Amino acid sequence: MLPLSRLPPMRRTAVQDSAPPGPRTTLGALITAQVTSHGALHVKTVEPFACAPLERPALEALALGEVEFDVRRPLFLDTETTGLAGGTGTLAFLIGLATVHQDRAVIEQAHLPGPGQERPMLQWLRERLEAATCLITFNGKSFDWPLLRSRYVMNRLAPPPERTHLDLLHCARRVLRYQLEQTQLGTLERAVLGVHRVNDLDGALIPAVWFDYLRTGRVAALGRVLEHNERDVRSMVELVAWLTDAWEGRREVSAEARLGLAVVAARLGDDERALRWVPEVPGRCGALANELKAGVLRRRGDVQGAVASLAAALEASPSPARVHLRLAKLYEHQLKDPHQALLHAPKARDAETLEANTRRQSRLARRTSRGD
Amino acid sequence: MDQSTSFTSPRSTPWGHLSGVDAVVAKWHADAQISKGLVLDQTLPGATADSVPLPSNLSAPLRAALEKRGISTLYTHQAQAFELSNSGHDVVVATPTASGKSLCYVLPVLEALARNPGARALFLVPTKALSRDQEASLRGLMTDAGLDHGAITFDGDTPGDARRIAKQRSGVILSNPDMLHSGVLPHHASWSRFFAGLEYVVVDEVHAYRGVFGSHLANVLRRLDRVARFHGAKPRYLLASATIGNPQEHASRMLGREVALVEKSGAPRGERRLVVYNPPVVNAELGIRQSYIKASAKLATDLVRAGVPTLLFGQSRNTVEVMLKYLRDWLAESRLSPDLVHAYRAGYLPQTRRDIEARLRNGEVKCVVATSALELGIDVGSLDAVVCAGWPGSMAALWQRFGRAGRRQGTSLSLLVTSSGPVDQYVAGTAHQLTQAPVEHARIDPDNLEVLVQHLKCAAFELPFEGGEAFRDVSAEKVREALDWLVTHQVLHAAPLADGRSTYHWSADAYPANDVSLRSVGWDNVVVIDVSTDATIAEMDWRSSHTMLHEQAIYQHEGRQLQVERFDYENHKAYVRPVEPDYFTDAMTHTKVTVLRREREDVRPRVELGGGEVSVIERVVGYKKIKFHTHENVGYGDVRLPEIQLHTSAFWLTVPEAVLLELTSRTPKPDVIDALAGLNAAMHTVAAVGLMVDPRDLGRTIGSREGGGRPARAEEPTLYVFDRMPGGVGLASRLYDERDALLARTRLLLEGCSCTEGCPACVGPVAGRARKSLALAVLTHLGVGA
Repeated sequence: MLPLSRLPPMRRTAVQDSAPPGPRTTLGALITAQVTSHGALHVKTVEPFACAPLERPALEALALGEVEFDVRRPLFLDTETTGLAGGTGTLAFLIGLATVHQDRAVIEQAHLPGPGQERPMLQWLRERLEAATCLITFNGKSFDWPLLRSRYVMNRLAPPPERTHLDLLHCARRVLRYQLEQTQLGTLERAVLGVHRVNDLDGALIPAVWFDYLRTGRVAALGRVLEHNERDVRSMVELVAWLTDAWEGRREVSAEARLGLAVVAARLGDDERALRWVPEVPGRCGALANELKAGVLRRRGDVQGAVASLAAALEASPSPARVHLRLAKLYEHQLKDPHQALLHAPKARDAETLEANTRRQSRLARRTSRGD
Repeated sequence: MDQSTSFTSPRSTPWGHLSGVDAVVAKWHADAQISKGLVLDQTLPGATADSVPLPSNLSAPLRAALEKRGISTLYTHQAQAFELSNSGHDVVVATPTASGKSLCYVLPVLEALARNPGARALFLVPTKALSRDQEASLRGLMTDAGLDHGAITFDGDTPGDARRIAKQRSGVILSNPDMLHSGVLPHHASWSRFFAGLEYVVVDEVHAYRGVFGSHLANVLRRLDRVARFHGAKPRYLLASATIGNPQEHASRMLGREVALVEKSGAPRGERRLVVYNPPVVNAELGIRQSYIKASAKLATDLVRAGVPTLLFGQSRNTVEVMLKYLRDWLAESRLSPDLVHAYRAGYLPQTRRDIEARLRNGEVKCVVATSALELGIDVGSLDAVVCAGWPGSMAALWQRFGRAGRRQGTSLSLLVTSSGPVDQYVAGTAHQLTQAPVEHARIDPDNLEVLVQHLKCAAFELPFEGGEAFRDVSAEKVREALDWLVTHQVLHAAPLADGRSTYHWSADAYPANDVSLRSVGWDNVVVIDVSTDATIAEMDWRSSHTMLHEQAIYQHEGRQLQVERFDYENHKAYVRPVEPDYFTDAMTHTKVTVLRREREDVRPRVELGGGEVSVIERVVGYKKIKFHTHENVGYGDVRLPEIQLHTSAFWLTVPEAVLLELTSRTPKPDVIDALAGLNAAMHTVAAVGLMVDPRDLGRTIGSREGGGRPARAEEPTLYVFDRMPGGVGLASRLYDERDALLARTRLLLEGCSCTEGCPACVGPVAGRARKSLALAVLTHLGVGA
């Protein structure tokens, strides 16, 4: 006998269950089980909803052209897990998928009946992945996908097929970083999708709901997890449409979002689009837009235009030193005007090392005194 | 002084025929001041090399790589380790420092890689610096042998790309136990290729994993074996240990199975002169001696002046800095360059360390001052003298430091300078026995319940426990009992199987490895938060937090002082803010013992000795403010914290009522109790030395026969020495087994101490009372004769 009673008190890791256990039901009461060769599989299919077909050029642009997307059969994926820390002890107990057929999206959700019964669900996911041409998630590159891959290893199954993966978190952050301080899915829903969840389950409580189900067999609260997950998947589908429309100019967006789109276009080398998107507004956003515009103009050989944009940016720039530095460089190297450059160089002090700035100033001073 | 001496190089041996070391020691003997303190000067003989040809079954590319480096033979212990591991044994190599231990484990690993491109090996190395060094030398040898498996260090500093390579491609991973525990095992699914190919696990410096840390490591290795089995591998272990009393037993406890021992070194060794210097007493009443730091630097200066390459060990970063300054000042006085002396720290970049090592080898640097970084196996080439400023804590650590000198032919010097601390003075008093002193045993208790349960949590997170599964050497029955307990605490979920057994799944929203620190017995660690930056700067185990993190305590962290503003006991958080006080705080603890079970008893006519399970209740009642440098007491404060209960094992000594009455018939009772408290302190010192443990690992108190109660009122006062690790790691039962030696040595300590009536080295500092002589009288009365 181990003297376990002598151990000091343990901090409770799970939510304490104060209510008496309710009627012990099974997951089957919530989602009917299908019998598969691997065991019981609980999949719920949600009423299809309208959805525009995915557009390859827009998605590739939003992913900065890093990969090629075959958008014929996209698979949207979001999991609900027993914890956020990751590691082999964390399970995905609910996998929500959306597939798009022509103009309709279908959501399917597979729910785990209990630990140690993952195989049917993983097999089901494998079939869906095999049928898909690309994978779309929100923060799935660092969370959902590595976690799912581990589940295959833990269940001694062959690794799931890898599909081209578009992580909407990164796409949305690039476009909306000037408009929103945070780009979690909930924030995006409220700010751009116009979705206001009613009676939504707080994501932080989801693991506790699962553990409560494990201990008591009560499935009522799992229904709310299904709703939460369905909403997440639906929002991903809507977010893709929103971003695509914005990129193609079919939707009115804020000046800040236009700046985000312009930055993406500039990084892709799409100068036309970048110049079209650059917003002309006062304030910080306008200043950053002018800085961006200056870079694009400079690349196209329009040095005077670049100088004008930078001058316009100076007023409200969040980092004037950086703008002064760019002006000093343009005046010295492109316009061969050391006098003008020397006006900006001292103000560029905070944008480069003291040593570099001192060298710059003394070189310019020498050139002005030589009269070149 | 020879005025013609050039500024940059020390003068060559001015004493004619005598070589450097002998000349310097002769000079010390000739110095009236110094010679008084030389309590030991003994010469240990050397040994010649014992070599054998390279093993015939060594792969050709590996043989070529060795021959390219001029290695055409192996020392006998290296060849033995190779044969043993090649034939499937787990091996522990316990030869002295600088005997070429690393080749003992590197060769079998490289041989495995040479035979199998998919083979993998894990090296557990205790420090980052050592890990990078090992990585570099392994890579060099692997390149020469044409092995393209790669070797990579995986720790907190490893960048993302390298982490991916480590998981997928690298043949050798060098890491540390903490990283394995919290960064690799809980994510083993993404290391599947590594674990599937895992053939060898190397644990370097295995003697360093003792006590709590060692008990944790044994459990981490249980988890490692379990995870490797899941991926289809069964790794063999190669362990390297410094000289300890029980390398084979320690390794077997660590691995939970038989381990083959290699301990006879075939490496050559020069003659060694062993010297102990005890600085003279400057205050006889208080037993205060001349500063050992100053004395060490002084003697090291003599060595450097004579051109002897010297290594000087300090106990802390601070003492290293102080000694470095003294040495440089004194060298400058003799018109020698201060650059002859360098500090050497674990935090230095590899390039800096390589540079210092190179300059030491070519003679530009004559002396290196270091903490313990060097004792962990870094190559500094040949050194002629090692000076240890202060007792390094154990015989094993002392021999390991001394092992840094005398690699080549000729006489080397191993010098210990003792401080006025109790353990140091004990060593100085018994210096003539130094070479016969048994080397301490490393003790661990992998089955310590708190430690075991924590790791069962981590293991269940890593892989569900199947019903009836054992945890390496922990029986299935015990495992099931602990898992069921965790189920009732809702940490695990038992899923019933058709056959009536259950599979235990992790079922909490937490990452258990983050709550388990390998360095402490920690139930739920306390997080230390710096409120000036909102950053979490440290974690501390729950028990230590009471004395270290109470409100108003000065918490020391990486050389900075921070004051605890708020201790959120319920939520395990301490909020601290940087301050610059001229004092530090010392918590005052009230300790009460209750005997739960008497397991051993030795009833003698005049004294009763015993051991068994006790409950220790400690409560921090206040703190003292102690001024830096002068150590004056400059104030007090109250602390209100709940008490901590600790179930552990203890050794005790009871004074029977009749004997107490005899004593108190001649001496007032308070004085007798005071003398007993002094004996308790001395016994604690002797126990810590004998068991090779940090004195803080043992607690002591004085109470009644059953434990509690005020000692002043006790009719049968009892001295307790208890194991501070919950559940105990067997320290107390060792004390009981060695009780006669413990009492005899306690008496010797008091008799040998040069103070008048008590000092920190024996019964503790005293004012007014004749504590020491009374304590000796009490011992005589208890039947512990002279």
